[in-house]
Amino acid sequence: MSLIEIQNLSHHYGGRQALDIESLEIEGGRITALLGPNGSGKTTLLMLIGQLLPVQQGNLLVRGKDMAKAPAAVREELRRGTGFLLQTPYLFKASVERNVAYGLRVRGQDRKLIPARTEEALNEVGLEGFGDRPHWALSGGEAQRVALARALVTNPRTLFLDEPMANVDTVSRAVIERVLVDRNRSDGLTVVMTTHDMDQAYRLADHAVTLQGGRIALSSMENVFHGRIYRSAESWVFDTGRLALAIPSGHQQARTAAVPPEVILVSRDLSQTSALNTLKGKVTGIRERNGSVDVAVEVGETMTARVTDESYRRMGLGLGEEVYLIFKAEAVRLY
Amino acid sequence: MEYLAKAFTEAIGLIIGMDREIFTITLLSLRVAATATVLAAVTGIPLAYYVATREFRGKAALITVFNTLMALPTVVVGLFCYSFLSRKGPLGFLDLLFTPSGIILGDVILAFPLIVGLTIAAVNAVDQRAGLTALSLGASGRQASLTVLAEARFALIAAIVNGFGRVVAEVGSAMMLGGNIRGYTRTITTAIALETSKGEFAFGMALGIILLTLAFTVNILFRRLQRAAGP
Repeated sequence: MSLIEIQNLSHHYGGRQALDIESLEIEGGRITALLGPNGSGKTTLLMLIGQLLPVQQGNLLVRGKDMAKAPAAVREELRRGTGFLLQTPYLFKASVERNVAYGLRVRGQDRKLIPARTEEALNEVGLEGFGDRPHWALSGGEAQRVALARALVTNPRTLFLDEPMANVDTVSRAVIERVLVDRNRSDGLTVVMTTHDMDQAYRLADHAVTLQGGRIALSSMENVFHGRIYRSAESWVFDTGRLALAIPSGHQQARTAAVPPEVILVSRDLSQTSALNTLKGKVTGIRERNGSVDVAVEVGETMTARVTDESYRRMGLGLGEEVYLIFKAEAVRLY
Repeated sequence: MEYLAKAFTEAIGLIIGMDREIFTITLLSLRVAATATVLAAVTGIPLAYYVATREFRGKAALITVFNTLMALPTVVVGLFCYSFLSRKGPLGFLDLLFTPSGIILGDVILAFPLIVGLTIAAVNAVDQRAGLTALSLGASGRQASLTVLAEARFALIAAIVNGFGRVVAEVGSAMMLGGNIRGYTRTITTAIALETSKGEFAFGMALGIILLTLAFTVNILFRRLQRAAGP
């Protein structure tokens, strides 16, 4: 079961429709990026799944519970298992320590344990010794890191972030990215974040959803893998542990690889090709889109190739059939 | 001038000597004003929060009414309450007229719109992200409301200080509802009015100095609190 399941979810501000999503699922334990320009509806979607906006129309299931019908107590309980970071963080008019401890206090945590946990959270975001500082004596980046520590101090299962790296300095950006990835890898923290920075989404996210005018756009990020790079006899290789991709040289520091679905050829036979990546696998999913078809193929990792309606009909693909995915090393984007 | 200086010297003597009557009057004034302020704050702040944070028909008109009532003349409140509390009035059976409780009732009516009006303004001035942030960090609706009020704490304290200042300094309502009975309902302001009319300037001046000192003390404490919290 997905962490979040959405069916025909729409949201209006006054008479203006801000969101209209037919179908969307967000898996737990992953980093999901909501991409899109300003006004695309990504913050509204984040607020809805973060229980900060009521469901107006449609179905929103969080951990299998329908948020439109769930009693306030259930929604509050779910909210207590999450953390939320607003784009421009609001720090309460108090010390940094009081700010970070807020979530612990409202949960009735043992007061004796609060200082140690607060200090631990501040250390995690690189703000050791900041506890006594007043809220107004922080830079924008420091304030964002305090807000991140405040959201993480309760050890939430899910963290929602609205443009967390907008308006912060490079040091704070690096710290925030590191903390998100560390928490995701070590604790299985589910991260859902909005961003308009495609590079950042590729760098951090396992999955991305692109919004345009309140709807999910067709160009959502697919085939993003995290792994390491080594040199083989034939070429440079990006290895996820379950899949090895030939890649171009000059990206030794990259940790994320992405293969746009549009550049992948699907073939029943391994015809002569100069492409270094020829991956054999079984079709595990077929999804028709507007004018094209997404074919999911298990090749160690699940990769999605996008073919035209015509190609799909001509090939007569079916679930479980063996196919080859073919693409050049230069088609692999590295971050 | 010599006459004024003499009255001033005598007034200081009465204060330093802890004159029993001055002490009793001051204590009653403080008790009445503090009780009325607390009652007005306890009822007015939740109401003001509700009005400030909800949208409903007639909200703007209601806020206008509260803002108008901030300047309610004390004698009008005295007259209004007197008509209800007098023996022939609908609340005459409560026997509140010419009692400290009667003065408190009038003072609550005076302080209530002031505290409500200033609290509405204070809550409206709080950044809208405060409540959202509280909810996003796991606060219940009630905890989030208290957090927003905490964010407005200095403006709230100012509202309460203003309410206290209004009732401790008012004379019209206290005179009409308390009756200025010596040792029972005589407050600082009613005593000043009476003693001055009797020509007892030193006594009136002593009470005036106490009243001013009270106002200064409360305001100085408030300013210090604000300064300690930073910008």
